[in-house]
Amino acid sequence: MPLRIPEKRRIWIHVALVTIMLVLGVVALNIGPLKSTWGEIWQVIRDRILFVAVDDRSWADPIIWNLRMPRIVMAMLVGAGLAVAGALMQGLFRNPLADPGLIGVSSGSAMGAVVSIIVLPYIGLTGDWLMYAATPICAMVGGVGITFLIYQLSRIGGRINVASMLLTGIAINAIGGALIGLAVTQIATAEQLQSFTFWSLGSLNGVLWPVVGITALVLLPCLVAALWLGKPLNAFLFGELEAYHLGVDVPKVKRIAIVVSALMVGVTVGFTGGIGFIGLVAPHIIRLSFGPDHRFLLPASALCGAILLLIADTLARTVAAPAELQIGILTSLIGGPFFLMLLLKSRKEMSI
Amino acid sequence: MSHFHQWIFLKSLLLVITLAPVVLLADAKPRIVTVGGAATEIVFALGGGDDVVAVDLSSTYPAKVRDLPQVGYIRNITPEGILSMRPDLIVATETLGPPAAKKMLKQMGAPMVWIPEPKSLAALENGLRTIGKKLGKSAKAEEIILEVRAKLAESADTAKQWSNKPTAVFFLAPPSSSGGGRAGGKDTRGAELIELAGGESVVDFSNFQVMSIESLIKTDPDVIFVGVSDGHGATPESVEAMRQLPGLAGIKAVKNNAIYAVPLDDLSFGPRLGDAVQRWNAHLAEVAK
Amino acid sequence: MLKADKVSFSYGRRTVVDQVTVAIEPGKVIALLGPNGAGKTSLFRLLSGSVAPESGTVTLDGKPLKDYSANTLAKRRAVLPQTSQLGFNFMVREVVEMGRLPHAKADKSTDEESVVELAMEWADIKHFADRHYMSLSGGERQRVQLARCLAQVWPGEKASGESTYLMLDEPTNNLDISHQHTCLREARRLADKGVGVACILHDFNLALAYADSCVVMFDGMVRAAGTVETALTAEVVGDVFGVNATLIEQDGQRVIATLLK
Repeated sequence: MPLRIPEKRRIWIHVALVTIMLVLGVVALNIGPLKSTWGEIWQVIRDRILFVAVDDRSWADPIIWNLRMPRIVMAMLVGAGLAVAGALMQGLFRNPLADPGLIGVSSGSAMGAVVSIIVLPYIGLTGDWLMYAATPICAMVGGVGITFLIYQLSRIGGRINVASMLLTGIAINAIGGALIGLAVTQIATAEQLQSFTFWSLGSLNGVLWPVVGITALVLLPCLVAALWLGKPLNAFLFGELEAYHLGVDVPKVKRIAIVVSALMVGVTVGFTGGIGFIGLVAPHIIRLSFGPDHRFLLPASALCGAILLLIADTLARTVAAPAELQIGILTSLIGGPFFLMLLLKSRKEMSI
Repeated sequence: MSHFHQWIFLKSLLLVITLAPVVLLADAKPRIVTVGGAATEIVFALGGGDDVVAVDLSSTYPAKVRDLPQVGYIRNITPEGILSMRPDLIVATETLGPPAAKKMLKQMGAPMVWIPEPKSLAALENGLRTIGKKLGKSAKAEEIILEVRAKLAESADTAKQWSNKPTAVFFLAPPSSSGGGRAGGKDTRGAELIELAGGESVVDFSNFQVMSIESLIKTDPDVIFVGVSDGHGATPESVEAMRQLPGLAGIKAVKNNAIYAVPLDDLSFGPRLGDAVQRWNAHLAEVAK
Repeated sequence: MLKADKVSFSYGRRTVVDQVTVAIEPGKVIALLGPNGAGKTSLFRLLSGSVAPESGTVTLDGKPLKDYSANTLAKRRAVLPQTSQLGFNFMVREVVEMGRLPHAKADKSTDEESVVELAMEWADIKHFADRHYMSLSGGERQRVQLARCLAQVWPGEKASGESTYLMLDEPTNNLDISHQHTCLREARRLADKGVGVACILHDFNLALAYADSCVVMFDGMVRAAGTVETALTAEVVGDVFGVNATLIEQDGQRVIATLLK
């Protein structure tokens, strides 16, 4: 592990990560089951920048602009959001293995998805709006809602007790899992069961610009808020009491970290389903490469997560083409062994 | 010139301008992508099979479609995957998913034909007519409809002569020594097929759910159908094992030796619906009086 | 002055701090002594403001602690915890820098880096400043934490002239005898520069050697308080700890020797 990173080098690392992300983003624009050329991509972008009339746009416009571009931007946003949420949870719980699942976002989102895919049709609500909008909204509401519930239940005398939050989370997750199982086995049709299964494996398939817009609207302010937490989270690593002694407003930081994580994970899981391991792997890569300073860790993890998910989604779009691979399968398939490797390596170095 | 051919013409014109080096215009055959088993079967039955360039994973009949490129599973279609097959026409059942991909395909104005979810005779007829019209094969579609109807009527006539309606249960996976099997409940295609064949489906839950051995003994159907295929569903071995289950020895279906393995394909509600109904009808006839 | 006035605190039905009055004065070292479970650490928590007293008040310069923000308070007092867990692998220097957290940006006059350097020098950890915290021994970690606390309330050239306080909860834990003395000598030197130091100790001889005054606690209450000479007598020690204690005086140095009763 390198020694302390001087301010200047930190800036350069960020610049490098941003460059990698943008270059990969542009490269990904030219990768897909449909063959395209750089000339066509340039033409599409130029047409869009110059507001060329719809009829005069190139044939490639809908493919580049409406199919690939939103997915690429979405992959970056979702990757950044999941990575930062992971880093926040790891800092807050002082556990490098923590992830937003601990605070109930994941199971809450899954419950929301089950409600939209299975329960709403069962009680007679159907329609187009349901298919496109209900799952994301329900998953988001479920994720944030369950987090809030766990958060409320684990307040002891006005303070949030981390240990009781984890235990409450386990209990709520168990109840949620049972309710999901009940809905899935008792009232789901085969089609709904398949829909839920595919949703739970995660995919950026079919992401439209409005979805990207809504996600950005929620994510970007959350990312900014998260960056503000860099310093206090450093103090948190010594323990909550120590953080207080160091002048950190502990309850406020906890509240912001939990709400911000729940929102970020809720909105991304809502639109793209369960995408695992980014929240664990991205902060770890940064931590192992550049140390655990949250002032650096949070923004660098965001960029690293964006890059990782962009790569994963480009693979998901292409490896099985013309079919689609679920991105959650890919991230877990690649992230799992990678994570194991990190663990084994760091165990040797007596540190995580 | 039908609307469809006009569309192909326009599209070809567009392709000449933009994709001239890539696409050989001489290849005037339309390229069709089908999504959904019933959609694929209908296109083939109408004689459009040679134009099909890609199918989804749920399309397994006729056998030659398995050699075609796969655009993924019907619930997980990616728009660019389909478009990359450069289709002139996409034929899909309404069950295509995820919803966002479906919406996207509709929004992008891709040349599509949607047919209803195949789970009834009406849906089949609707699908045949819709696709027939698009392919300019309406006459052939009507011919198939009449054929299916005739076969169904034949089965119905047979059933009319029975004094009782045989009761039946359809299993996707048969009960085994480790527990119950997945049975087709109300409003499933399994139950629909039993009714069409003149029997009475006696499963009182909805969807495909696990029916315990005890429930099966209590229901005591005259006939048990088990879906068999080499892909999923039961195997002949599992059906035989079911016959030997000690608890089931007393039920009518076992005593009458009325457990029938049926091709899982029978549930596709495609143009072969008539054959499927007749097959099931024949099985029911063996126990009916 | 950081002062607790008749404060009480209890966990459930057990009262751990009972009507205790104690003051940490700038420029003085006060030692807190007492057997395990006497309420020393709880009293520290009350004084540091991390818990609020059930009755009584804790004030800093006459103003109740609850009227200070966590950040303002942190600029005025640092607390060295008994044990410090740090799950992530920081460099020693980074840990010490953490002590400057409350001062970020507010105080440009102090050269942040030189404060960190000085604090590390004081705690005698400069030679492993670039090692990883997790690779250190318990005693070394303790000294790093001490340096962090020193950096937090470094007296420096405070424009405001506000007094600062250092609260050490068993700072000599895990330290070899030589570093125990160094640690308290540094605390003493800080006091001489105007910092108010409060220190929980188990070794009354260290208290006798370095502290100005002391409070001996027993069962949540103050058993004896005052200057070390008057309060820390063989009788008090024998009484509170249930041992036979003898005071030995030699060359002006006082030592209390104990034997099991």
